[in-house]
Amino acid sequence: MMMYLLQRLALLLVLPFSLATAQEPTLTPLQGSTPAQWRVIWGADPAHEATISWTTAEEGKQHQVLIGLGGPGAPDKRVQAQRNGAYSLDGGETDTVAAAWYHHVRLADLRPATRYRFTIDSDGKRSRAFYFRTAPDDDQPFKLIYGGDSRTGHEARQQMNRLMSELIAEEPSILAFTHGGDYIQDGGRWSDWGPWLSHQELSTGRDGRVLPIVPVRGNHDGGPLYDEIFDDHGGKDLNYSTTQLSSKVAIVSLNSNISTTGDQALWLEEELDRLRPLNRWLLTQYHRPLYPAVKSPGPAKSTWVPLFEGFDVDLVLESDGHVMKRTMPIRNDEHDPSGVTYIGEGGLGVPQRQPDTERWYLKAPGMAARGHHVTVLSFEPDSLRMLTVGPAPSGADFVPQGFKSIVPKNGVWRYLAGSEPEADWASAEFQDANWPRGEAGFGFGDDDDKTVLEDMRRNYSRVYVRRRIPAGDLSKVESLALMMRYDDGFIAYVNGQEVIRVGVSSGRGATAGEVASHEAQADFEFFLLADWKELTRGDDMILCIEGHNGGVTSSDFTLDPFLIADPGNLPTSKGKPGRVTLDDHTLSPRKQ
Amino acid sequence: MVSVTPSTPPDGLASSRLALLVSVVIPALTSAWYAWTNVSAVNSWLFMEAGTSERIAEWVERSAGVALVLASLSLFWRPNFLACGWISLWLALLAIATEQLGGKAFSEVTPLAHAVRYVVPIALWLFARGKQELAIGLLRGSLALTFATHGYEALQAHPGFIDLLIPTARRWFGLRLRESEARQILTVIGWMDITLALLVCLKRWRWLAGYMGLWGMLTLASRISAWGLEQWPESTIRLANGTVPLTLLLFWSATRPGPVANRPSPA
Repeated sequence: MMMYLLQRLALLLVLPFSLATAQEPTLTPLQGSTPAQWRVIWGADPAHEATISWTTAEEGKQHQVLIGLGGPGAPDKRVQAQRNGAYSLDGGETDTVAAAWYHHVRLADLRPATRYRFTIDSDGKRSRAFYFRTAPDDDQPFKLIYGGDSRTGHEARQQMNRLMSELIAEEPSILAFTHGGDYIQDGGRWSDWGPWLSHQELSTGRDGRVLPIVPVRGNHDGGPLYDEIFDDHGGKDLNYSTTQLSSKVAIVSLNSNISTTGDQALWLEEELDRLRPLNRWLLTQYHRPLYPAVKSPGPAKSTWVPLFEGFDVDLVLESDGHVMKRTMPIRNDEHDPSGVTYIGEGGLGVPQRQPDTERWYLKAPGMAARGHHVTVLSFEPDSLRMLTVGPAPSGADFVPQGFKSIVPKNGVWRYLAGSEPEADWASAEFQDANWPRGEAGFGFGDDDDKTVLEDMRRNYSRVYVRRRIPAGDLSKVESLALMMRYDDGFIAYVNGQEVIRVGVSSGRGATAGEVASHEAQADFEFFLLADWKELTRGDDMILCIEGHNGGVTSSDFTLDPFLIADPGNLPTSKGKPGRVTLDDHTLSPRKQ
Repeated sequence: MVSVTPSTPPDGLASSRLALLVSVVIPALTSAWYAWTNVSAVNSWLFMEAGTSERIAEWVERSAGVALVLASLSLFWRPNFLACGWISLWLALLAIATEQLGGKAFSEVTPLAHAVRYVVPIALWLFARGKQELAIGLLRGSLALTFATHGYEALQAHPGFIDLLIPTARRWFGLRLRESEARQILTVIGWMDITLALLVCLKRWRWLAGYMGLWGMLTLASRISAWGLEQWPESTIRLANGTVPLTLLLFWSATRPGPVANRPSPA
């Protein structure tokens, strides 16, 4: 008890110092012996064991971790890497891709529910200071992040990694991250895995907190690299195992890429039989869904589902579909409140699909949505909460349904083309009576414009539009979104304040910076108007948009807006800028 | 000597042509069903690899499905190149897209494993035009490719094959097969498939065709027995694996040497 208090006091004393040295996460370049692509991996007993892994660009001679208890201070121990090796290169990579080396330090005899700080040292080159927490060995509440399918969405997966970094800063009780597979496109290529591992660094907290990972193998993760990266998690080429997250919570990780009816099924039956009476919360996770929201079910369904139902698994984590879903509780292929709930299906960066919400198991009380997301699982003695959050939807990723039009398609706007407006043109007070009226969309060159700007080609590259929306039209509105077809970029203002910027790197009007090329899509793209209520304060809304072409010599231009309200399928935003809640559901423990 | 005109094939060949028609139409309709209810490899390739929107990928897939249905219906009137060519093309595109996407066991050999599926529509067209020997030659070659590839996969203990054997053994024979035993069985099956593939190229044995037909039907039916009735499309999409050997059996039976009635040649 005394040691516990002393540790807490030490933490309070050094915390201001550690905050002062908190670092903005950046990607570590792979060069020489500089440790990069660090990760902590949890296996069967995360209360007492963990593996710290990293990458170097050179083979090096001595790779170790300096590890100690509690906050910053002199390290207690040096632990040499027990496993080092060169990442396998695909046949086509040996001449084109630089080699890299993996290093694994397997820690044992750790203390449960304890903060361990560590620094990685490869041939004298040191990483910055990190820390992780071991799992508890008692029944204390904790949280876990779940997600899957990063694959080809490099920018999106970096965004999701930053989101996880924010979440762990907000919620210290989040202990680990479980990934449902399909980290990359081609598991046999180091040139795919390398960037993923680098991007994973962005999930590290600003204070150096590293979230341990419980990995699952996806169907795109074939080849030897998965085992080299995750140190043969669950057994080399087998990759199925149990992780005891606390004294009352266990998760069984399965591999849907190997035989699902053979040895793995026998092991699963024995393991569920052993685990069920010992745990309040029993979860399974694997990649290919058995109650999918988009694709067809995997062949494991006829073998695994009877086992899940027979042993009353509480929650199943699935991926692969590139959507967000939570099924109704299912037993014997029908809704049963005592059944098994399946959530998923992969939103860590892969381009998202539209779920098939007509599938019976996705109807209420189940649900499905589209959008990048992670699920925060909160394990309590009397509840298991599943809070699914993600970045606010935008662009073509979100298809609004059940909305009302505030400014209709092809609505009439005041517009200015061929000259620059006064500086205050976007303000509520600006008088636009001498601007002509025109129907949206504005543009030329691709036969999709209502107001054709015949003189725009080779003469000017900006068009300005304004529309007044009476306060009465907005009195009962909760959320507003701009629906836009555009080529190439635009900036939107509400009552003089910039609210949306797309494709315009900097500046505005005639002083705008570089404009990225963007072809107008057949469908309108969705842009949420956050904070509009604060900007209008019950007055009329003046919505202004400046459209930018890539250049005066461009062959076409499109600026085609309309304004919608309260899409029925819009996820809620609960005070976190740029973040929405896609689902919030709680399970109760089964009676045992 | 049998004299044959394309428009009036002898009765013995009519059953071969019917078997070919079934080999084409059922898988084509299954593909169309998939296009409307699922996400095909072509859809996934367009969305994930080519970067098209999901809406466009879905439009392409569903349009293909409609065209497959129309093509299949037209075959009942007359096997024409447009219909047969479209069905062949779509099935070939599915195989190529699967290979390109990866993410499945042995996806790299999918175009070989699916050879009989996308060759049989062309064979039907040739057969209907009186070029039976050419059609049969194509069928033998593609069947050999399919069987040989499956044999290779079996020798490599394809996890999907293990997952067919174990539940089938339990449901059909009440046997609880261990994974190691399933692997041993697959080794035998693998060599058998490769041997059958070689033989069908070299010999015109009716018993061989019959055996391959029976084996093909058993393996496609096993998808349902192992994985449940909702996996029926996985059986019907593979129908050619069983009905093409049956076609060979019927054709070789109809054309085997022996006393036949000579038909007068056109003047």
